[in-house]
Parts: sequence; C-alpha cells; structure tokens
Amino acid sequence: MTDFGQDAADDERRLSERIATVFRVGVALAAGLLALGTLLSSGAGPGTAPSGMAPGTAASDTAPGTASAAAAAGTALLIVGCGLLLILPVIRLLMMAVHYGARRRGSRVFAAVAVLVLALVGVQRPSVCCTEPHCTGLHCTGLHWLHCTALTPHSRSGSRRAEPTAPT
Amino acid sequence: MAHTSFATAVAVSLVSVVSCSCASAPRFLTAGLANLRLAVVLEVATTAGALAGLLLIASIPNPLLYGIFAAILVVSAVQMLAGRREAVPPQGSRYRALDGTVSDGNGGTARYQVSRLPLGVTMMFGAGTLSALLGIGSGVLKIPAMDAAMRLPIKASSATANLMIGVTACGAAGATLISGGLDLRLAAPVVLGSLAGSVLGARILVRATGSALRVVFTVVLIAVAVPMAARAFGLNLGVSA
Repeated sequence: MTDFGQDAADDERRLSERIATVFRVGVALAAGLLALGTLLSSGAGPGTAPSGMAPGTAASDTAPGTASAAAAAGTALLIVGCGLLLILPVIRLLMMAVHYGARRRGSRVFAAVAVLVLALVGVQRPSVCCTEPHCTGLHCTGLHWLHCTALTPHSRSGSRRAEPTAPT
Repeated sequence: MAHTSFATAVAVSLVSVVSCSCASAPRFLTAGLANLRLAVVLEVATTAGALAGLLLIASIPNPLLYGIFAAILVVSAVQMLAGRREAVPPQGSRYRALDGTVSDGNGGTARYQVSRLPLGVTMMFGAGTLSALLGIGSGVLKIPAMDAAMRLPIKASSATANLMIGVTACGAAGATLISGGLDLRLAAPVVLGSLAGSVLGARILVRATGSALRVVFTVVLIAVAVPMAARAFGLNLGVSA
C-alpha cells in the first residue's frame, strides 16, 4: 500500500472509530432510557393514548396522581429513547459529510453523496400514511399524500400493502 | 406482535431494524468490516428505491410481490451455496476509492476491490423498492447483491449492509414516531431485545469464518423464501400476519 493509500486508510479508520464511539454512547443511553421508561410506564395499565401521544402510553385511571405522573415520565423516556436511536444513522451521515467535506478533493464527492442521502431520508421522514387498506389519504403527508390521493385514489382495498415479515 | 395491527407492526418493525443496525455497527466499524464509503454510495440507491416503492404501494398485487421476493431469495440462496467462483482481479480496480480491507481470520487483513458497481447500485435500488413495498429492512437482499454482484467478502457485505439498513428505515421510522403512530410500550421491549441480540450477533460475525456465514445465510434465505413462495400461491404458513 502506498503512503497515500495508507493515509486514506488511517483517515477512514479514525472516522470509523469516532462513529463507533458515538453509536456506543447513543445505544447505551437509548437502552437505559427505554428500560427506565418501560419500568415507569409498566404500572400505568394499557389504556389509550392521550391526544398527541402514541397508543398504549396513557396512564391508568385508577391512580391519577403518582401513577399518571410516572406514566407520563415513562412515556417521555420512551419517546426520547426511540428518538435517540432513530437519529443515530442521521448523525452518522452528518459526521461523514463533515469529515469528507474537510478532506482533500478526491474525498469531497463522498461528502456530497452523504448530503444527498440525508436529503433523500429527509423526503421520506415527513411522509406518513395510515397504511390501512381503505386509506383515503386524508391523514397522509408528504409522498404518501401524493400517493394515496393522486396516484391511486380509492384503489387500496384491492391490493393493500404487503404485511410485514421479520425485519432483516 | 401476533395480534397487533398491520400499521403498528410496521412501525415497531422499522424501529427494530434501526436499533439492530445501531447496536451492531460499533463492533463492525472497529473491526474494520463495514465499508463507510461504499455504504453511503449504495444508500443513495436504497433510499431512492424506497421512495419509488412508496409511490408503487398498492399498484402491485400482493401475490406477485411475494412471488418476486421469493424468487430473488431462492436465486440468492443458490448463489450463496455455489460460492463465488470468480476471483476479484488483484489490480486495476475501477473504483479504488471504494476498496477496503477485511480481517482474514488469522489476525491479518486482506484488501478487496469493488466490482460491477452499476449492477450493485441497480440491485440496491430494487432492494430499497421492495423494502418499502414489503415493510422490511431488506438486508437479505442487500447482502447477496454485494456478495454476488459486487464480489465483496461475505463479512464486509454483512457489516456494510447492516450499516445501510439503519438509514433505509430511519426516515419512515422517524415519521411514525413523530406522528404518534408508534406503540411505545410495545416497541420498547422489542427494541431492547433487538439491541441485545444485535450486540451478540455482531460478536459472532466478527469471529465467524466466511464459509460458515455463507451456510447460515443460505439457511436464512431459504427459511424466508418458503413462506413467501407459499403466500404467493395463496397459502399461509403462519408467518407474521
């Protein structure tokens, strides 16, 4: 391997180690938050979600004081824990964009590619669909709205989205 | 998950995919198995494919979708079982910036080159599209694509694909979290289990030999292909509903 190639490999290794450290800290924090959130909200009973909260996250109505406060704290921890996990791939792309952007010209193309991927993820992110067979697009946003209202209106009952299989 | 709605299952599945990717990535990155540059290039194709898949939802009949998926898995399994016969040429790589190194199992490292990038990008686009249509992470498609089309070592393919599935899924998963469509009390134990399993899996992958991984992955491909093929013909073998 040439000095140039060796430098590039060392540079890549440093970036990998930085990303690995961020991921380790992020995953450990998220796991702690999720475990604590699960413990706090486990005493709250199944219930239904209050407005603006996810289903299955409401406090039990049997102990409205401490139990509901614990459930609300638990829900908050679960949201932060999941959110932290979901932001990690985005942080990785940002780190790569900054790293390659600051390097020699040959590496800068990867900074542009990382920004392009971030943009494509950003287009997906606000795109929400109820994914129900008879979706009319009323509550969809982003590309799902375009899809459900304009591209295939009233056609979802005949061929709905495939059911999920084990994530791989 | 057996009695949850389709939308809830998809949301939890997406978060689980991201958590698997994030938990195993540090091990792969420090072991030098994941190829960051190749991952980000291929992520353009997978995320673009996922957007295309989003627009194709409901336009392809489910049996046909399952049939295509099963056929791809069977072809991938055959290729995995056959192993890669053609050796990567030692010199003259067209994509030098994407080349990488992988542990050779004896404490040393071996360089590898990326071949047939356009074919790999095309296959990644297809994997991204199927990922959006089927609501899966599609690692089972990405690994054979990198192994067979781009002729990467199986360990590098697995580690790089693992890094990529997190990006493919995080957009849609984030949307479900923001919109309140994620059942947090169901997701939390699933994610915690996924985190633990991924850390363990990453340790095993780093130490396993390439040939052992190839056999395990072939079994996984066939195990997923059989129920998919059954569904294509209208049979339900009890796979998650």
